[in-house]
Amino acid sequence: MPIRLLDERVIGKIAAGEVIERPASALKELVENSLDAGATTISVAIQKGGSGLIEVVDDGAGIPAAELPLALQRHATSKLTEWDDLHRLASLGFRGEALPSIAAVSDFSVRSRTADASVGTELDVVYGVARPPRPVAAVTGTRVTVRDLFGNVPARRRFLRQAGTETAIMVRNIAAYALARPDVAFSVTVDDRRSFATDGRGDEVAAAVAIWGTEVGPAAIRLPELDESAAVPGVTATGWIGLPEVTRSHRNSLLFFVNGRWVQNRPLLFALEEAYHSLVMVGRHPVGVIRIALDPAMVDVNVHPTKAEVKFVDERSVARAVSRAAHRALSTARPNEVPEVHLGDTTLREPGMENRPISLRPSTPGQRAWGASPLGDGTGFGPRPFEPKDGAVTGLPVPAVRSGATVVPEPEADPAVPARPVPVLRVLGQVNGTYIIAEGPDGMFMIDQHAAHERVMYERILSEMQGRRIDRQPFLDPMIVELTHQQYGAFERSTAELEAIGFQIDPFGPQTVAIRAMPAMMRGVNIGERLRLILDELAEGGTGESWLDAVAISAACHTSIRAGQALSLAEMRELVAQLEQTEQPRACGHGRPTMLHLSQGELEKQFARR
Amino acid sequence: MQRALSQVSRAVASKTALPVLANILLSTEEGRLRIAATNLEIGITTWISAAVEDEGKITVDARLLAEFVNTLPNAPVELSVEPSRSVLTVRSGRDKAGINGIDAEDFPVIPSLDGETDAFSASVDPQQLRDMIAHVEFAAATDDSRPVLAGVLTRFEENQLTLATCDGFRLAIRKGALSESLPERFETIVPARAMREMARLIGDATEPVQLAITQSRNQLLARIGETEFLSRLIEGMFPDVMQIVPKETATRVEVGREAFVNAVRRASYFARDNNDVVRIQVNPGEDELMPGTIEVSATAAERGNSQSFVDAAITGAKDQVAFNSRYLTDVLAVVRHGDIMLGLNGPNQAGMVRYANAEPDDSYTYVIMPMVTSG
Repeated sequence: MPIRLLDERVIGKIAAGEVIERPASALKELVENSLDAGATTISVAIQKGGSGLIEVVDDGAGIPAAELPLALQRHATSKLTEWDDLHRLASLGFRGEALPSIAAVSDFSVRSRTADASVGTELDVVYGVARPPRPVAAVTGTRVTVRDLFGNVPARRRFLRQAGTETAIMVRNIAAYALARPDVAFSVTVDDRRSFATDGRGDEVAAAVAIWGTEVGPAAIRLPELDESAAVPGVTATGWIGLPEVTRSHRNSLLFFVNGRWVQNRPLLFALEEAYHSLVMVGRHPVGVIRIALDPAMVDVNVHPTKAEVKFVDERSVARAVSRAAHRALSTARPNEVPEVHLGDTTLREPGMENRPISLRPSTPGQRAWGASPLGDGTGFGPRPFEPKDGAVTGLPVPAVRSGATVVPEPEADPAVPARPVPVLRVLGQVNGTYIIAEGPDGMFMIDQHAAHERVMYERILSEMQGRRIDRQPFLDPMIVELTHQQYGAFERSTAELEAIGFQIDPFGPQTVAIRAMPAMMRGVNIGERLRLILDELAEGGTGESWLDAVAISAACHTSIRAGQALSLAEMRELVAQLEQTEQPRACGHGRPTMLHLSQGELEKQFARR
Repeated sequence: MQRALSQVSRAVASKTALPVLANILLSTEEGRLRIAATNLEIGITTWISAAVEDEGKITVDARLLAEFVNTLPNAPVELSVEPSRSVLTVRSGRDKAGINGIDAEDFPVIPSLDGETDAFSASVDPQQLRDMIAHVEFAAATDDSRPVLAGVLTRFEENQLTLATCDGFRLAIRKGALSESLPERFETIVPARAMREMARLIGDATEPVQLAITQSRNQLLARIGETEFLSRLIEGMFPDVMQIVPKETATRVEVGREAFVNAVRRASYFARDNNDVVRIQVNPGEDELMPGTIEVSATAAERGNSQSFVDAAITGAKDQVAFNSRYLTDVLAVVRHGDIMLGLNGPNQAGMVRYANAEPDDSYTYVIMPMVTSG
C-alpha cells in the first residue's frame, strides 16, 4: 500500500479520540471556553448522558463572525501564541483542539455574537464537515450545541458507561467549575430537570451550599491566612473546609484548585485529611474547597491531556501549605466542641422502660456519622426540625442560609461559657463503670472514660514523639510474651514503630518476644496482655494515616482505662482534667466521641418546665 | 469478743457469690469459742475463752453481728443457737437480738495448725517478721501480668528467712533470722495482699509467730498468739532474684535519709506530669576531705522544675541516672533509720538502695531499674 497523507476528516477523528474521550471531556472543553471568554452566566443542558445533547450557553465575549470558521480548525486558539507562553498560562484551555475535535465526532452547532456585532453567526459542523456560516439573531455570548456525540465512532460509543454514570461525571465536573468560580452563575439541567444552580455572587460557601446541600454552610470554616512564621513561601492556600461533623463516605466533596484549575492530586488530599485525622471516623471524608495559588512556572498542568493531574515542582511545600492552613482553621474555628443529646419528645408517654428508647441525636445531621444516634432514626422520633431560637440547641449554631450571604459560623457569644473546647466540669459519678457523668455550665455531660483516656494517651504519645523525648522504663528482667502467628506477624511489621513510641521488644524464639522496656506513661497495666491486643488490632490493618500512627493509636487504646473499670471520684476528676488539656478533646484516636452533652434547655423541656 | 470479731472480719468476703462467705463461723471447741472467717484467699481463726454450756455452731452475717456487739455495754454476752433452727440469739443485760444464720456445715473447712501433719514449720520473731514484710510488700506487682510477681517469695533456709518481691522494674529482698535452725530448705510464694494482712494481725504481738505449710502444700498457716492466719499460695517459679542484684556498684553514695527523702519528694511533685521521672546527678567531692553532692531534679514541661542539692559521701565516679520517683519514695518510706546507701551503675544498669551501716548479711537490698529518657 503506498504511503500517503491522511485525509483531513480521518486526522480529525483520530485527534478527537485523544482529546474527547467521553461526553464529560467535551463538556469540560466547552465550559472552559466559556470561562475563558469571560462569561458571568453559564447554563449547561445534558440529555441521555451527553450522547443525546450537550449544550452550553454563556454570556461571554463571543466569537467574531470572521473568526468562527477558524475556531473550528485544529490548533486554532486565542490563548497561546508561542511555546514559552505555555508555562505562564493563566487560561484554562490552550491547545486549540477542543472545538474541532468535538465537531469531528458529533452533530455540532455553534452560535455566537460579540457585543459590538449587530447580529450573531451560526455555524454547523456535521461529523467534521462544516457548513457555511450564516447570520442569525442572537444575544451576546456563545451557544454550543453538541448532538449525537460519537455518532460516527460506534466503537467509542460502546465504551461509554451507562447514561447515569456519564451524567454524574459531568455534573461533578461542572460543580467543580461552579465552586472554582463562585462569581459565575452556573446552572445545570439534566434531562430537563434542574440539577443545581449557583447564584454567581462570588460567595464560595453559598456556591457549595447550592451544590452540596445546606448542612455544608454552617460547617464551613475559612482557611486562615498564615502568619509569616507559618506561611510557605510562594504558595498560598485559601478557601474553606468543613467541620469534622460534616463528612462524606467519598472524597467527591473535597476539591482542590491550583491557580483556578481543578486538580486531582493524592498528596494534597492526604495533606488535608491528615489535619482531620482522629476527628473523623475511618472511612469518612471531610468536605471543602481549597484554592492553591502559586507561580505558574512552579506547576506543570500539561501532564495529561485532560489536565486533571498536575505536577508540582515542589510538591512537599504545597502539601505543607495545605496542611498548615487546615490545622490552623480546625484548631481555631470550632464553634462548639461537644455533640449534644436530644431526648425524643415521645419518650415520656410510652410505657415500658426497656421499650422506651432514648433518642440520642447529635446536634447536626453530620454528626450522626459518629454513631451517637443508634436509635435516632426509625424510632418514630428521630431528628426534629431545627429550631434556631430554641435554647436547648447549643450545638453548632446554624444560621439561616441565605444565597450570597456569608454563612461561616462564629462561636456563640455566650459570656457564661468561656470559649474553650471542654467547659469546666464537675464530676458527679459513674454509670455502668463506663461513663462519667459531669455537670457543666450548661447542663449535663456524659463522658466515655475509655475514649477520653485513649485521647489523653494518644496525645501524650504524639507529644513525646514530637518532642523526641520518650521516657522508657526498662524491665529488670525482660517480660517474655508468647504470640499467635498473626500477632507475631504484626510485631515484625511494627518493630520500628513500637520502638518509636517507647517499647523495646526483641524476638525471643519462635512466636515469642521479650519486652525489655515499655513506655513510661503506660505504667500500671499488664503490658504483656495489652501488647497482644495492640498486635491483634495491627494484624487486622490498624487505623491511622501512617503505620506509626496506627501503632500509636492502637497502643493508646489498649493501654488506657477500660470500660467497666470502676473509678474513684478523684480518678474521674483527674481524667476529666487531663481531657481538658488535650488539643482535640472530642474524639478518641479511633474517631469515637468522648463526650455527649445534655443541655439545660433540653432537661427543662423534658421535665416540662417550659 | 469485739476485738476478735474485728480481727476476723478482715477475712470476710465483701462481694461474693457464696453468701456463707459473708458470714463468720461461731463454734464451741474445747471449752472455748472459735470465731472464723474466710474469703477463700485468706482465712482468719481466733479463739476466745468462754463458758460453754452446750456445744453448738452456726454462721451469721459478720457485719451485723459485729455492729450489734460493738454497741453493747461492756458485759458478758450470751450466745445461743436453738437446735434445728439457724438463728443465733445474742443476749447481754437487757439487750437481745436474734440473727438469722446459715448452717455451719456449709462453711468451708479452715485447716488449723496442729504441729504434726504440717509439711513444714518454723518460728520467727513477730516484730521482725512485720518489719520484713513492710520492707518488701510494696514492690510486688499490682497487675496480673505474671501471677507470681503479685506474691512474696518466702524462703526458709537453715536459720534464715528471706522475703523477696519484684514487679519487673524493681526488686526488694529482706533477710531475717529464724528462731531455730531448720533441717531442710523450703520455698514458696505468698500473695502480697495476704502478707499485708498477716502483718496487720501481728500488730504488737510479742510471742514468736509460728509459720507452717499445710500437708497439701498449697496453704500457709501462721499462728499469732490465739489467732491463726491462713493464706493460699501462688504456684509457679519466682524469678531468680539473686541473679538480678548487681554484684557491685560503680558509684556508692551515702546520704542522710531525711535530706534525701525530702529532696526526692520535692522533685516528685514536678515529676508527676512527666512520667514521674526524677534525675539524680552524683558529683563526687574534689578530694577526700570534701563531701560530694547529689542533685535531685525534675522537670515538667508545663509546670516548671525543681532542683535540690544534698551533701553526700561519694566513692566512685560522677554519674547521672533517672528513676521513677514512686520507686524511690516507696523505699524511702520504709527505710526508717540511719543513712542510706545508694549504689549506681550508670543510666542503663540497675541501681540499688541499702542501709548505709548494713549488717554484714546485707539484710535489705532494693534494686531499681533506671528509666531511659531521651532528651
